[in-house]
Amino acid sequence: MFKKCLKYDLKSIFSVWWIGALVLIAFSIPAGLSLRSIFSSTPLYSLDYFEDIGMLFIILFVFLLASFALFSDILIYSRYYHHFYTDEGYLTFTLPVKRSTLYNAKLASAVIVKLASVLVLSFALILFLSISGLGFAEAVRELFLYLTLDFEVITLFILKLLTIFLSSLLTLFTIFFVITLVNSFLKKHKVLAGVGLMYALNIVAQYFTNVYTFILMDQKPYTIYDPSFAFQALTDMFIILAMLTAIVLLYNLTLSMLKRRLNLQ
Amino acid sequence: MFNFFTFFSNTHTIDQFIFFMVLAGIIVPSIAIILGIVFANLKKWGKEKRWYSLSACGIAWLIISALMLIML
Repeated sequence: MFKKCLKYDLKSIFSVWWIGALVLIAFSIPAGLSLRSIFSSTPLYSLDYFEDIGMLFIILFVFLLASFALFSDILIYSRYYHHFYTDEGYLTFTLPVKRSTLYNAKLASAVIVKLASVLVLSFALILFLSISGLGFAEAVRELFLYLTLDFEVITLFILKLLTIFLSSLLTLFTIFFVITLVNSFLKKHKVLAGVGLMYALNIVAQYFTNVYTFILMDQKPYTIYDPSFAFQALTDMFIILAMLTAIVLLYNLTLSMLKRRLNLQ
Repeated sequence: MFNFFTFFSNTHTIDQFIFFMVLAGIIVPSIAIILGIVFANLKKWGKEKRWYSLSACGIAWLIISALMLIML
């Protein structure tokens, strides 16, 4: 049943998602050509008027990069809310499927959509930079050479990637938790309560991040910053385990609320 | 009254680190371990064993914090 739930979730999200992806990739080509023209000694455009349009393409492309990331996130959260807490929710919870299966399918589809979005964003950026002729290929080659030089460099790079991945996952779990909490316990002002709760959780997370950064990462001579591999790896693993604990807590709490409280109206 | 800015000044770096590590490295993971064990055995919530995963994460977090304190 998990595969079927996952299939329908992905079908629902990707039926709209592909439009945004296509628009972003399509805009990367004229934006790349415009950037190439700006830095070239022999511009593609002979008239200033076309140079202004070229700048507009570049600005639009940068705007689309940010918008597409937000667009795919909104699709995920909108799907979660509509499938569980609107008229569609009545049908969802009458299906002969465990609540944990439904929830896990939502999480799996969200992770797949986020990964697909990262791939599309990377592809659009690579296309834009390659067409613009800014020496992108040489930069990638040098980065690859740097990363294959040292075991310690690779390990720290992998830990940093894991940190970024878990950070994105933590945001996902937090928003699912907030949507479930406000819809399970409140009858009115759900949006306001949800926004307030997200704001409060963000403040707490920001506090710990700032203190951690100040004490451990600041490179002034008085801090305990230690550039050795062991200490750097331990500090990264500290952050990873802190985020993992928060993710596991949010997962368990959300699932418990889904199993016990249903406040469909 | 606790003054955030004077406490987190450059002359108290080791104190700040120990304060932070005790709070975020020992107290918070300990709470996670206790919560995991309590909820896994709560009859009202169905004694769900998946809550032990929270305790496992807390234990791993505690071990890393202990290693960082030893390195200091």
